[in-house]
Amino acid sequence: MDIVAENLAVCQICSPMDFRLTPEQESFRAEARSWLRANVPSAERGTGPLPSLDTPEGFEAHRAWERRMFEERWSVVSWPRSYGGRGAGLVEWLVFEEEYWDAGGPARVGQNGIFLLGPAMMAFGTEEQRNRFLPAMASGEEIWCQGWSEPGAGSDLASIRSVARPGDPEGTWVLNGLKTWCSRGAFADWLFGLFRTDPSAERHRGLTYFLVPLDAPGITVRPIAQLDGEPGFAEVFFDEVEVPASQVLGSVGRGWEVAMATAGSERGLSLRSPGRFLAAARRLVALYEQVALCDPARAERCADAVARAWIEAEAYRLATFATAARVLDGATVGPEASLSKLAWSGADLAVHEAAIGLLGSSAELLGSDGTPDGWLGGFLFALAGPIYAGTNEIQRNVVAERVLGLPRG
Amino acid sequence: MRAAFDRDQEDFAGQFRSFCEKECPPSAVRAAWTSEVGFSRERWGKLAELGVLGIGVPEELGGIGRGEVELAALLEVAGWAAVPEPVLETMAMAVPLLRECASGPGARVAREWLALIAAGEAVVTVGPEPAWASGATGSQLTTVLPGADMVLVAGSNGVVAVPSEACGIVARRALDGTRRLAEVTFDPAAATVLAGPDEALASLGKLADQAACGSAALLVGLSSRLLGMAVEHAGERRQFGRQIGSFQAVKHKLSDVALRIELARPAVWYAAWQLANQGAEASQAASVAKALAAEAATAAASASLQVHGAIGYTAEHDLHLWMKRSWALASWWGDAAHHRSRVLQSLIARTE
Repeated sequence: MDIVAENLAVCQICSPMDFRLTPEQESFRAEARSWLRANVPSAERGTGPLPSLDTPEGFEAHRAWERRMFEERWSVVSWPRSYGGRGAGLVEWLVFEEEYWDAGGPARVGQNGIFLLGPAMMAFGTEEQRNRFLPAMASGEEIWCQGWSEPGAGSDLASIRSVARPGDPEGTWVLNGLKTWCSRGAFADWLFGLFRTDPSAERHRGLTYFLVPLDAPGITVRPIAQLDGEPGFAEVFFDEVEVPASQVLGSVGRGWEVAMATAGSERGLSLRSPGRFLAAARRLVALYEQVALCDPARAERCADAVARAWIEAEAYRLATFATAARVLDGATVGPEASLSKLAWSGADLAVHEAAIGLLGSSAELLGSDGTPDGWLGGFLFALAGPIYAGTNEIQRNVVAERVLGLPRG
Repeated sequence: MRAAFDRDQEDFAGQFRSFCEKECPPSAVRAAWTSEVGFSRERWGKLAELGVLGIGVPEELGGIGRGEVELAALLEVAGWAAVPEPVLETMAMAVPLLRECASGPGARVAREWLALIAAGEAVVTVGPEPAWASGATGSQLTTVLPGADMVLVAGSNGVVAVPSEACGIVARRALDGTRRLAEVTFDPAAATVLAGPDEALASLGKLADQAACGSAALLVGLSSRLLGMAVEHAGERRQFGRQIGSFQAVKHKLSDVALRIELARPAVWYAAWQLANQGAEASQAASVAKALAAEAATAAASASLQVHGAIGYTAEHDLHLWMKRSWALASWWGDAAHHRSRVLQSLIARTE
């Protein structure tokens, strides 16, 4: 967890188990809560909910919200102050996330940047790159999309065929190929992803990590509608796209290493913190109580699924605090991040499936704007969880081989 | 916030694990099956010497005076080794109950027995009063009989201590040969009242939570051993010219078990910490822990059996020693569904 590198120096192994927050952490929570309660877009104040972030107007409304948070240093609390953060520790970050989702905060349109690329850039970027990209990422001025998958490379990411060849002048690169399922690709400003720079090398080597503006000549973006009907991802075509050396992240030929750091963040706790699922699980219990009043028989049939889903979310919260303790003791999160991904994707699905069960035949109804909102929208989103960030089948292989030590093959 | 053991807690658990490797190998578990009382009085004495039995007994009574967090660390190890001695009954249930009673009408008796437990001279079990039992445990049977020296009978009428020789015992054999269950009757004249009906109510709630948390800790240990056995077997056994652990069907089955264990363990820690600190969420956390650990253990048992194949289906292989304990403890003092329902009730009560 690179975002917390500055906290690693404190070895806590001599302090006893304690699930309470420190007074400082409690006051951080109170400050976050009061700001979020006053500022999160809400129907009561006439400022929300924001339209879907996968529509042009919704994307810009979410970008403006990122900007608002950035102005008061709430958009990237765990980042150093010099990039717009608060230098908050890992536990504070988890607390902030609990408050954010509990307050009904909108989806983070900048998440590819702030949660995935940001940590990788802090670990592998040059100082110039960090200064150039991180503040603009934190403020929402530049929203990033991912460029991992290709038509022939999904779970088997190392089989990508998009290429980068040395350009003229020396040090520049020319990109060709096709990236797909690029989340936020329809409206984003920049793309990060892997391109093959040495076709003769072994497939995990010879890959380089590039940062590319989506308005560069030679790029064509074709939005793709997702299950909810909105263009949440896109295909991005590269036709002789020129990229300067300053837009290579990490060393040439070492892109796999950088990508795996990003993937670790995506699978592990930085992308999907427990707060999001806890808030959904709490809403699920409230829904259960409503249904119990008007249709007790249905509520009774769903009771075990509701309890099971809430418990899964709570278990992920506690397991994440256990991971955080290990990190603060100096451990790094390696293949165990795959366990986190299995946990949160499972919990999210369990919560939303239970809600759909409680709603019965009214679950299929669209919202007033004709799109799936509320529980139905959440359910559709949860269905993606076991697929993106490396399918859960791949995560189970990683757990089996690299956590349990079962033979490869 | 620190969701991890400190160095002392880890060291003590490590020492206990070394002890178990030496003093309680699978052959010892197997020997307990055919022994008279289902466990070894000799090893009980050694557990006291190591300080394990006195972990929750106050220092002035010869114990170590630590709480549920340390207890949970030890019980996970006990589960890992399938220790046949009644650590759940005595350490996780009788000791906290006696501690509760150490200031009530039965203070003298309670303190006397706490000291005997820490010294390794007494085995104490807890039997639920039948009327109360059906709600709390689903069973009206008591374990560790006739091997226990004393039975604490807990129910809505209070908590009483009855020497086991004063009990009428109808033994019932269980699938796990170390679990000696019995129907118990006793003459009230032979019983010492430790807590009256008024004080007992609070104690009873805590007893159910302690039993849930303690059995959950044991189940996490049992699960991790079951998983370890399966991983070992899958790395050795070859079919179709390859190790069976290289097959994805086997990998995914065992990864799912690993995930369940990794989620259950911190839940046990949280429940133990809540109990140790009389937290407002103690009951709910104990039920979360038991719901997760019970399902982890039953999943570990069936996955491990399947991965072992026919050899795992034999009584000759050690697998069944862990499997049968897991099945029993998964439903003892409430199964996963019972505890999930308890969690939902407490969540609803909180919003009202």
